[in-house]
Amino acid sequence: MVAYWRQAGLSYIRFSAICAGAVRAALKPQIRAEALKAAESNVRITRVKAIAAASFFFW
Amino acid sequence: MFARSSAAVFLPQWYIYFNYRTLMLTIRLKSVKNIQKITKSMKMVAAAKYSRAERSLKPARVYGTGALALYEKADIKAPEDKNKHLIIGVSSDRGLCGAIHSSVAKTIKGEIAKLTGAGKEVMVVNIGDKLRGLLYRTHGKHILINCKEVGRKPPTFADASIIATELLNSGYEFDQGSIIYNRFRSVISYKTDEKPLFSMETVANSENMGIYDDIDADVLRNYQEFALVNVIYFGLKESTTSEQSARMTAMDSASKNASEMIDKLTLTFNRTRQAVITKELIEIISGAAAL
Repeated sequence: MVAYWRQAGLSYIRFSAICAGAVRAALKPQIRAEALKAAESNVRITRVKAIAAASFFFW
Repeated sequence: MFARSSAAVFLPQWYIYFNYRTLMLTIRLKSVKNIQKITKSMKMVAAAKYSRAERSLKPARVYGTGALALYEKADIKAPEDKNKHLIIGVSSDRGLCGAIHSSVAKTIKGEIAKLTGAGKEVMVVNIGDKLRGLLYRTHGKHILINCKEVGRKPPTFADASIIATELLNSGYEFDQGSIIYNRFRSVISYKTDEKPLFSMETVANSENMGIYDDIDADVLRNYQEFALVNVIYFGLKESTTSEQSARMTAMDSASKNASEMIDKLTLTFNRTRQAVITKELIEIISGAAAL
């Protein structure tokens, strides 16, 4: 039986991230600051096909 | 007499007879001393980051071992005839940490060679800019995704989620794969390790899946997605801890080498200085004797 969020187009990763955000928002303020710091992300992703196409153009 | 000396760029504490050779030595001595200061401070920074990373590694290990426990307990093996492979290589953006990046790159290159030799299709996900630099020249056409800004701050679960989401949205339907990371053993040792990843079809069609109760395609899909994030998070945490400990030992040996060089240079400098003074004295004395 397909879950409602799956039908709405979310993946489990996105669903659990939203749930975790809700839990963080429910924390007491002192603990919430630490939890928010532990939850920020700073990774940049690049897909390679675009770069390969661009470098092919420059060559 | 002093016309022979080159232009003095700085004046040390003691007044010495300036000479080209001693000047070169003082410049060299000063630069090695600066390098030693830098490597010492880098070692302190790496030690602080290492202790923080190790403290956060202990609770993070459970995520990875828990996610992989199903694969091990159910003894899931991918069938031999599947063709699409995925390799996730975990490293970081920063260097000066010994053999961290090169060992992961070497393992990946060996795996690619083995799999393409057997006729399978392989794609690689690079986590970390250093790995991209090592792989893109020779294996550029195998790279699927590059991740930057890894290693500056400690990795979080959100990082792993972003990477996993990107991988799932990339459209590459891999049948099985592995994640190659540096497993942290102790302060002075780490080991490049490999953990398996499976696709949904492989897990669903595995023969031992019938043992488990209440498994349907939706539950399995949720589990696979979440297990992917957990394994990536586990690899990231272990890798950063190994990297900081390796950087600590590398900077430590660099400072030791620098202090050895400083000792040798100081000895040479003193000898040269004394030789210059002796030469000047001899010239004065022989000049005075000639009068």
